[in-house]
This record gives sequence, C-alpha cells and structure tokens, in this order.
Amino acid sequence: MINKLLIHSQKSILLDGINFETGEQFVFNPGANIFDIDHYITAELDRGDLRNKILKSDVIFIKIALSENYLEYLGLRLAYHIRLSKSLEGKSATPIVFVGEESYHFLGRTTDLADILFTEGVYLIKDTSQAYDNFIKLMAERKIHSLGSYVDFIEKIRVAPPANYQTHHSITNEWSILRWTDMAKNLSEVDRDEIWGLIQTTETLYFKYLEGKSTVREQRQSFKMEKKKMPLLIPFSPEDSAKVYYIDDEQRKGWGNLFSKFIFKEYTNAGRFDYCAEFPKGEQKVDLLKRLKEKIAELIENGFNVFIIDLRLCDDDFDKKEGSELSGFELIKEIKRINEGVQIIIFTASKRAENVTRAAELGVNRYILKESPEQVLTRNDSYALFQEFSAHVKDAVAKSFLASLYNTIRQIKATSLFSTETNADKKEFRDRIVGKGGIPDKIFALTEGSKSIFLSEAFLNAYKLLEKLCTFYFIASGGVETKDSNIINVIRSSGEELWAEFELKRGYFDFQNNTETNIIDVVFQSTRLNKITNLFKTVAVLKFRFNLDNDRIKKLIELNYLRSNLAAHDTGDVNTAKRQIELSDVLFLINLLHGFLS
Amino acid sequence: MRIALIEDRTDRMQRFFTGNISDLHELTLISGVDFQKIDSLFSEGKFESLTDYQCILAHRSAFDRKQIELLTDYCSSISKPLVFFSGGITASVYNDTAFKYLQINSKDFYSNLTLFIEDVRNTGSINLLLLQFGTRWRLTLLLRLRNDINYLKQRHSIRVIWDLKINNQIKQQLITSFKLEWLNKPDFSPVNEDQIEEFYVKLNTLISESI
Repeated sequence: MINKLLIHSQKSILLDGINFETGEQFVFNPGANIFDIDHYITAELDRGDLRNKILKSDVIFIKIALSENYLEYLGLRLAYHIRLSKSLEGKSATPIVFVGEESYHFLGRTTDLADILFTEGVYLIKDTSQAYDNFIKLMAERKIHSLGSYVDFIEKIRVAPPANYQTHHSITNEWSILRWTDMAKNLSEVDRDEIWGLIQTTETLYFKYLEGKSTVREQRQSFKMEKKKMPLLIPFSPEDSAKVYYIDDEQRKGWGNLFSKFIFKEYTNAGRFDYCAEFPKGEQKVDLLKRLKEKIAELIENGFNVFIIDLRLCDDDFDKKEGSELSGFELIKEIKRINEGVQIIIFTASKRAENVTRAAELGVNRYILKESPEQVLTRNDSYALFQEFSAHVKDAVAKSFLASLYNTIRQIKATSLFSTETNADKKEFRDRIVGKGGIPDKIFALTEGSKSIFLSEAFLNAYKLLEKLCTFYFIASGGVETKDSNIINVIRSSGEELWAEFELKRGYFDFQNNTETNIIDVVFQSTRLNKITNLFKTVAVLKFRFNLDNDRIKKLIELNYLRSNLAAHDTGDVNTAKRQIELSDVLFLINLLHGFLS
Repeated sequence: MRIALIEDRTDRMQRFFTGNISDLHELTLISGVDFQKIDSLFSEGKFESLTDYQCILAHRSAFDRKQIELLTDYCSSISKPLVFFSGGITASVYNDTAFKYLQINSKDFYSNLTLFIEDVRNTGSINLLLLQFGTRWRLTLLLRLRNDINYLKQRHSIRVIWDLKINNQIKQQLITSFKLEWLNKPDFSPVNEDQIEEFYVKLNTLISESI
C-alpha cells in the first residue's frame, strides 16, 4: 500500500474515481486575503494540516498550478519549500510528482523555479488517469526514489533574491540576528523567541535557500558540526566612563532588543547603553538628519562617547545620488564636528569598497559587516565575526576617554592666558597652546594612537608645557608669583649658598634599577641647593601659586623622574617590566594644565 | 477612468519607476500631505476619498494590518480592483474570485505600471494581469484554458462552445489565430470530440509559440 498525497486547487482529473481519498488530498487555498504566499506555505508546513499529511506520505503529487493564475507556478514554489523545510524532518526528501500539461522545456523557458525538476526524487506527469496509473506501477516496482543527497539538491537549484534591494537588505539583517542569537550562550529560549518574533523573512523561500546553502557548507568542513556557543556579551567595567549609543533603522528587526538586553546588557543596566528606536516610515532624509543631529548633540552633551552606526538609515540611502553622502556618514561628520574624541563603530550590511574608503577618510577604522547570507558563513565564521565586533567595541570603550580628553584640550586651547601679552616668549608660549596643530592638538593626536611610543611623545609634550608654564611664574630672585601678583620667596641665599624654604622630598621608586644614584628622603628644606632646577621651579610654582596638594606633587616628582630616565632618554634606570609611561600619566598632566589654564 | 496610486515613499517610487508619473494622466498620486489625510481616515474605515477611483494601487507597508483589512473589505464589498505592492511581497499572487485583487513586489509593480495604464487608456478596462506579468499576461490565460480543457475533455463534459470557458480577453485572439469556423458560432453551438481535440492541439501550439 502506497501512502500518497495530492496537493491541488481543484480541477485535476486525478480527483476523479478512487485515486485519492479525502484524507489523501490537500486543497491549496491561501484565500483572498493572505499576507504573503511564502508565509502561508510555511505556516502550513510547520504547523498546518499539510504538514500532518506530508508526514504520513510516501509520495507527494503536486499540481504545477495551484491557482487560477498559471504563471505563478505555486506548485513549484511549494515543492521548494517542502525540500528546504526543516520542520518536515526526513519527509522533506519524499518523492515529488508534478502534475500538469506543461513540459520540462516549457517550464524551463518560463520560470526560474524549473531547476527543481532536474533534481533527484522529482517527477513530472500529465494530468491524466493513465499517466497516474503508470506512475503508481513504477512505484510498486520500486523505481521511484526519494531525494538522496541534500547537498546535490542545493547545488542544482538557485532561488533568486527578492527583486527589491531593501527586502534583501532586511534579509541580511535578520540573518545576522538569527545567527548570533542562535549561537548565544547567555540566551534563554524565551528571550531568543522574543527576538525571533520580530523577524519576518525566515519564512521566505529565499531565506530557506540561503539557510540550506549554509548548512551544506558546514557539512563540508571538518569542524562544522561543533555547535559552538558564545557568550553574547560585551564585558562591562564600572570604572571606565564609556556610554554607548546605537543608531540603526534596522533596530526594530531585533537588533535593538539583542543589543540592549544581551550584548550590552550590563551597560543597559548601568544606564550606559541606549539606542534610537524612532525611525518613522517614509521620513525624508533631510528631516531624519536634522532630527538625529540634534539628538547626537544632546547625547554627547550627556556623556555618550561611543556610537555604533549603520550607514543606510532611510530610503534615500538605497539610491544614493551622485555627490550625496549616506546618512550614516553625515552623522559621523556631525559627531566628529562636535567632538573628535567620540568613538565610532560602523555596523552595516553594506560591503561596498567605496564606503570602507569613505569611512577611513572620515577617520573611522572600525567597520564591521553584518553577516550576509550570501557569504554562506559557517557557525565558526559567525563566531569569529562576533569576536571581531566585540574586539572593536572593547577598543572603542577603552578609547572612550578621548571624548572627555577632547573637551579638556578644547578648553585648554580656549585659555585667555597671555592674550594681551607683549613679551615674545610668553606670546610664543600662548601660540603653541591655542594655535591649530599646537601642542595640545599634538597631545590629543598622539594619545589617540595606542602605541607606547606615541604615549611617551604625548607625555613629553604635556610635561614640557607644564614646566614652561611654571617657569613664567618663577621669578629670577627665587620667588613665586602668586595669583594675586604677590611674590612669595621660596629660596634664600646665604653668601654663596642657596637654601630651600619648603620641603621637597625626592623618593626612591620601586621601579628604579639603580638605587644608588638616587637620593632617598632628602629634605630640601634647610638644605643647601646646588642650583635651582626646573623641577624645583615647577614644584614651587604648583605648590605656592596653584596650591597643589602634596599627593599630586609627589606624583609629579615621580613623573619628572620618568621623563628624565625613560620618556626622553632611556637611561636604563627604570625597570620597564614594572613601570612604563601610561595613559593615566598623560591624563594627569593634561588635567593639571587644564586646571591651571582654563 | 481614474486610478489612485497611494505611495508614501515617493523617493523609492522614483527609483523603480523610470518614466514620469505625471505623464500617466489616468493616475492620481496620493502622497505627502494627501497621504497623511487618508492615513487617519483609513484607520476609521472611511474610504469616501476613493469613491471616484475605479482601481486602487496602494503601497501595503504604508498601512497597518487593520487599515489593510479595512481597505480590502471596502474594495471587496464594491468589487473595486485593488493592488497591494510592497518590497516584502516575495511572489505575486492574483485572485479574481471575489474581486480583482493583486499582491505584487514593488519592483515588478513599477516595471509594468506604464504598460498597465496604457492598456487602461486604450481599452477602458482594468487588467491586473498586465501589472503582474507584463507582456506575457495572455500566456497565463492560455495555460489556464489548456488545463481546463484537459480536465473537461477527459470527463467528456464539453458539449457546447460555452463549456470551453474561453476567457473573453483571449477569445478574439484564438478565433483569429486558430481559424476554426465553428469557434465563431454562438456560445451554445454544439462541439464534437474531434473539434475539441483539434482546438486542443492548436492551443498547445499557440502556447509553445508564445514563449
């Protein structure tokens, strides 16, 4: 006995007689008000009556036309869904017999869906009783086969992507979301389903086809079946000051949820992650940019210093006119205009080389491609992609201090110090601070580079500025000019000898290699000085003009030692395994300058 | 004849539609402020603004589910042809059992729009198959006819010309092309099995030659 099924929309000669009992038939009737044919088919195959009937069948007969409108070829479309459906388990390989008057040649000429006719386990018969009887005879003789190789099937078919690029764009986005959530370690089924509930394209034939291709590629790779799981979480540190904001019109597809609830969960809980949820349909580019630029200014004002941005944010971006800029780039320019230290990550489905180049021109080197189904990535590839995303975010978070440094530098440059000065030396000092490309700008640029050599250079520049500033307030007679223009004498001379009037301890540092050449706990007070060193001048001015506390003076003495023995000249006296020039050293000096100049 | 094109995304329309929409005089574009006006009215099931149009072409994504249902019900109730186009529609589906109703991908829709409107201008009728299949629209009717005849002739249920159920949109083409004298006779003229077979063979040939 052969368990068979006929899928039809009425009008088939096979319905006459006793060929198919009622239970062996399925009337394909999506109704007049279906939202989408693929959704109807998927619903039937996943949880409908059709699924139950297929699970009981050894062979499936399908009318080529399942609607009055023949060229729609819904029978062929349904067959692809059956083959690519995961929910039918082994039954997706059941022999399929197309029934209709159309020939192989005719179908090949009139539809892209004809590929399936040339795959294993697929047959074509005329809609006649005789053709049916002949086929059943062949089946009884065991000459009819199921699909044997899924890999061969996938290689022989081709499903065209949606005609509309934007839909294609959506598929890419949803593909990425599905992959990442599927591989997430820290996601419960409830959470995953919540995100997947927002996704719409998984039911389309094209999506299933891409899924099939991806599965085949995994099957070919030795490491493939390893169902790798990854923690979908960006590590959070309460110490840093990173605040992350995400701008992507595809957030409603699930990215917003995925980012806020999982990838940036700890940031969200700490009030340090948010995303733009407002992308009204049909919003004109000019309105969108106006709205988002205002929003960005407000966000930066409120301390957001890391932005993750998609490039295409509105319809216009899908048909970029010559000379126009993608919305994402417009926003990046605005961010850079407000604060060059704000960190930016581009997260996009656009892999055009010109966009990567443009990003680099705008000073953005973090460019992450959303996983695209055409890339046919394996789970390992997806894993690597998330790692790359995560690494870029960590780097951006680590450099998020630059936003605040940029503000500090800007305020330093706005100093009114020596603005009316006629003294050439002081004028030059001012120019080196406020001028474009001056020392503060150099310090910012050098600090942005993460290599230690840049940090040392930034450190030297900052120290030089501070030292120079202090020399202006240390007067030749050995005093310090205070803020109210009084003079405080900090040294006294007795004959040929110089004596310090305040205590300046120069300590032993545990990172020193050569302890013998350093003075330990030497008290300058009441101690004869050989000469008035720059360190002495600097400390004297900081203490008496700027009232710097002792802890910071001690820190400055340490930095002075590092300046002389490591940053400017590597004398070998610093054990670099224990101590190097650090970012915090540069920031310490910059903050001192800021406090004095602004 | 007046046709309403409801499109909230005119930028995208310009991307898909290569011609000039204002050249299609039968078409009234409802967008921008006009769209915003009907948007709220549609939510309340008020479609008076569409009364003067004989066919509605609407961007489906511009509306929510409720609006789509109400608009479909409105068109269905007065048999007003309705087309929903959207980038999210993966395969076009046409149904004319209750009323003429087409769902189609935006790109395909705009590709065939000029052809459709020109046909409206020339014939004074609405042929949504033209929107769906462009110049190949007759082929789908020929295929349907062949399937019907194949079914009916095996059941021996074709007795008169009317039983062939030839769609009026292709009947004249068949009369001209097949040169079968009896085909020109009144609908209830009898036909015999040889005539049916001859008709069927000629139909097969025409279909083959149509591609």
